[in-house]
Amino acid sequence: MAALPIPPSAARPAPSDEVVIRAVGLTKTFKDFWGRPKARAVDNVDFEVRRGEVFGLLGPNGSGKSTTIKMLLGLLYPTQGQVTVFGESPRDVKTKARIGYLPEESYLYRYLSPAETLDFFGNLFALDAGDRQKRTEQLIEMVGLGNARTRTVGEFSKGMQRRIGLAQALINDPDLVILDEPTAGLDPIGCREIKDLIRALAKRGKTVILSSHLLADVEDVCDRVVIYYGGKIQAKGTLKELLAAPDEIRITSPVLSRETTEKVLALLRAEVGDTVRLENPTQNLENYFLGVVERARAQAQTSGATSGNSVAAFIRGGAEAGAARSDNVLDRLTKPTATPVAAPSAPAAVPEARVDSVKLAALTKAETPAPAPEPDPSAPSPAPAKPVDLGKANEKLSGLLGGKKP
Amino acid sequence: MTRRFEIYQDAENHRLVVPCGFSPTAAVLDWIWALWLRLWMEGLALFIVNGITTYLLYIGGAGWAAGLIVQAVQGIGVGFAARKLRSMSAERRGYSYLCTVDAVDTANALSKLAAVGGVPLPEWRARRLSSLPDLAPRGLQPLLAVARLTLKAAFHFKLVLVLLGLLLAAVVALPGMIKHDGSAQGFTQILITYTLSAITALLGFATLWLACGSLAREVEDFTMQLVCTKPVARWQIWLGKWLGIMVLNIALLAVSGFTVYMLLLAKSRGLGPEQQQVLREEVLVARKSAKEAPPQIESQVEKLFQDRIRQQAVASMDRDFVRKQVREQLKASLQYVRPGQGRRWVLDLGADAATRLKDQPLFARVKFYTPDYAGMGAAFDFGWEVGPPEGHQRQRFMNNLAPESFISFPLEPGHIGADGKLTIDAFNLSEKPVLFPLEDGFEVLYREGGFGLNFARGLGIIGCWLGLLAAVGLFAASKLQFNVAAFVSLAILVVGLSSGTLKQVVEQGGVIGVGTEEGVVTKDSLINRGSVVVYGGMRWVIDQIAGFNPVDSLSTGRSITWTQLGTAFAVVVVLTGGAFAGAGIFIFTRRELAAPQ
Repeated sequence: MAALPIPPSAARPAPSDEVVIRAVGLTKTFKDFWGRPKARAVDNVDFEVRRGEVFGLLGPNGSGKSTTIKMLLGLLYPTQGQVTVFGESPRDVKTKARIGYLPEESYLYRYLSPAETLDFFGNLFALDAGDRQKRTEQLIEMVGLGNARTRTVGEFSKGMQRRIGLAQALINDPDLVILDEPTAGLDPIGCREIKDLIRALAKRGKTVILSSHLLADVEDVCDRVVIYYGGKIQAKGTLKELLAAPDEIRITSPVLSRETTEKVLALLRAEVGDTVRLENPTQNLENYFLGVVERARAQAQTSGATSGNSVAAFIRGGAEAGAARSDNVLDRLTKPTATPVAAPSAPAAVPEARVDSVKLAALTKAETPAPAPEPDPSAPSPAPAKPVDLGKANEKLSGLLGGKKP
Repeated sequence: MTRRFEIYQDAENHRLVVPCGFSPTAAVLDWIWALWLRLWMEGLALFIVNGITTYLLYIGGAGWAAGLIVQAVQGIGVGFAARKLRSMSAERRGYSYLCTVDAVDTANALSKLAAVGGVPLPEWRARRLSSLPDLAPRGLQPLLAVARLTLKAAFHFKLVLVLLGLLLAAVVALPGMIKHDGSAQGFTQILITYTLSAITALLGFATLWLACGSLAREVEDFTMQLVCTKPVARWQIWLGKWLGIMVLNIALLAVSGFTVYMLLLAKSRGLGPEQQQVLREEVLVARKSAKEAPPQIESQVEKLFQDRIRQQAVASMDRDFVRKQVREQLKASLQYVRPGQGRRWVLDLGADAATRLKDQPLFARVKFYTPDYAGMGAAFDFGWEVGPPEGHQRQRFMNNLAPESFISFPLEPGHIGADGKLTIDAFNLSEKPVLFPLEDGFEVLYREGGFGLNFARGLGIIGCWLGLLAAVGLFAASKLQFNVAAFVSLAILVVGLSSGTLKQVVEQGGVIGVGTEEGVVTKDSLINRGSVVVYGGMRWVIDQIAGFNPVDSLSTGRSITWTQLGTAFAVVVVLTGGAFAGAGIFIFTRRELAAPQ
């Protein structure tokens, strides 16, 4: 796919007040053959999406995201409540001319070539022959399938099917684009290009609804999100609202000298007492999301899959103990590093030490990047960092702890 | 002189150059050229259109010159469409469009591309001529796209090839395997009755299967979900599927029908001269039937009935029975011909029949019964007089006929009255009474038109049946999964073929409590009343559909009129198929496509 040169900072028009989607008391209950309620997939959900927004739907499997999307598309009908798209029922045929949809799986005809696929969908939008041909050429080039024109969709890899799926979603130049797991099956470059595309669409004033499990994707491109669990919205708002701690402030600065740090801390403690913490700014959407899910799990039932269940006993077999220890090691390597400042003499931004920190530092020194300042959101995205080789680090760490190899 | 060339390239960098503009080769070779390019369907379609139009013009009296003109016009069209057809052929063979260049010939076009390192300039890529403009109204574009997709699926899954193979095997192999008795009737029985029945059965089952699969499978593999998020109404999807299936059916029906027709002409040469004449005059012809108008006997029945009850008191509960008896007696008096007595039929052949049918052969077709069992080989003597009663030139002859079967014999032309009426008197010369049924006891068949067009109309009626079956299959698939839908639609077909059971239920007055001696329901109940209504309704519908039997008409050389074809279309496709379509579209529109299956 040709990368669209739209940096994250590119100027975007602010979302307008025009409501594109309005869901009020939206509820969907699936019933069995006898009409008895079987599962409440979506439960009394309210939200609005305004024109020009990139709106994220988050939630674990079976939380109600896809059911919501399918009600927005008129593929499922609400049991209670109502939903409007551009002020009309989602079943209104004319309204669908303004929508582009990329489903979570390839729902394409396997015997058509990319051009035939786009021509077919172009016909459904009643585009004339010239337009269909022009857009087909451009979209095939855009999604990088120029060399696969003669193959049929059935011969494509999953990533290629996502690409042609994306192309069909854009054939009508839609005002509302609904993307269900758009980066699933795509390589990192493809993921980046999808995000660039979403930004490009938003820049053009298009409304984008994004459903994804990849929180980093959502965090990168969404203006507002709702988080589902058990069919209910557990949290909603802009990312800034959701991720900020309202009764705390964070001062971010380059690394200070020890003396300066102590002076600043002393000044702050004089003002607010011992509640001051010094930490690396590592709070991210993933932590927040997991927290929301944990809280929701404690309160709610879900008809979908639950997270955090242990592996079935017959699969775990005798390797359970080792596996559990290995999970813990990996947890520690990837865990957030918030640590309360115990004393002025404590080194700043050092994770809580549960292992021999000196040995660990020595072992991982070469692979651990130096602390970097928080990226400026207005700057272009940095090149993807070299991924940490967790397996290697884990092996070293296991050796250090005297445990078995994971 | 430079012209435009489109260059295509495959995965192994082989290049193909397609000249733009009119192609004289394509214009001259027409369908042969298309088949040479492996455009099978296009070539076949051109062949059929060419052959059928030429033949229709020929039998319509326009002569071969008209056929040549049609071929020339078609050839010119193919010549102009050559670029499009060749690009389609290239893309089907794995080539993709690269660019369009101006050059003097193909070598020059390739060298120009090589001169820029094989990477075409952007303006060369953008030069591609657009496809043919959409001729269909914009509102129908989605419907036609669904229809085309249905056709493509049938080709992709090899259904068309398999069906075509089976059809041609049935049409060619069946007459080869089953030997006829050398008579024109036996020949016709095998070549028309068997082959057309085989074609109808094969295409009928394939239509049900395809209709169920086309819709139900797409719902099951979720492709329908994506289609339904586009601005296309569900009724358009449903009708698009129906249209696609019907285009396929019509194409296959045309190919197999054309093959039957050509075989009929070719194989008829093997018959003896006498049988060939029978074939020409009685089978390979469209003959219209003239029957006596059914007598209006109800007023007379009522008069006789009133006389009877005046003479003798009849209990009110027995009055229907008595009235029925009176009616049967009256009918018998009209049907019976006692020994030594005669029976006259006056048939209206149309005002201008005397001149129109002056030199045309007429055929009487009779069927009669005897009150006593006549036994095998029994025959009865009859004397016949044909012509206006007051005329002196009546045709007079005698013959010896077997009872209880249809018998046909020729009548001399030229005995039709100036008013277009043909009067025929039959005299029973045997010693036993005979009975000519009012419905089908006597008719006269006369030539109305040629066989070719009649045959085409017969195929048209089979097409109507297929249209109904497609609607039944799609109706079942509108709600059900593929396997269940296939089962349900086959069940509907079986019920349709078992009208005898339906008739029996209606006649015995229900399904529960049928007396073994009386043969009718002895106790009235809601279930019995309901079943009579439902079964009666179903039987009525089935009778309407089964009433159009082109196979029987074609094998007996009877005319299938445009009115019959139009009525069949109205009753079978519009009314019955429309009822299934309405119900199917209603169900499909309300269906939640993303609901758990």
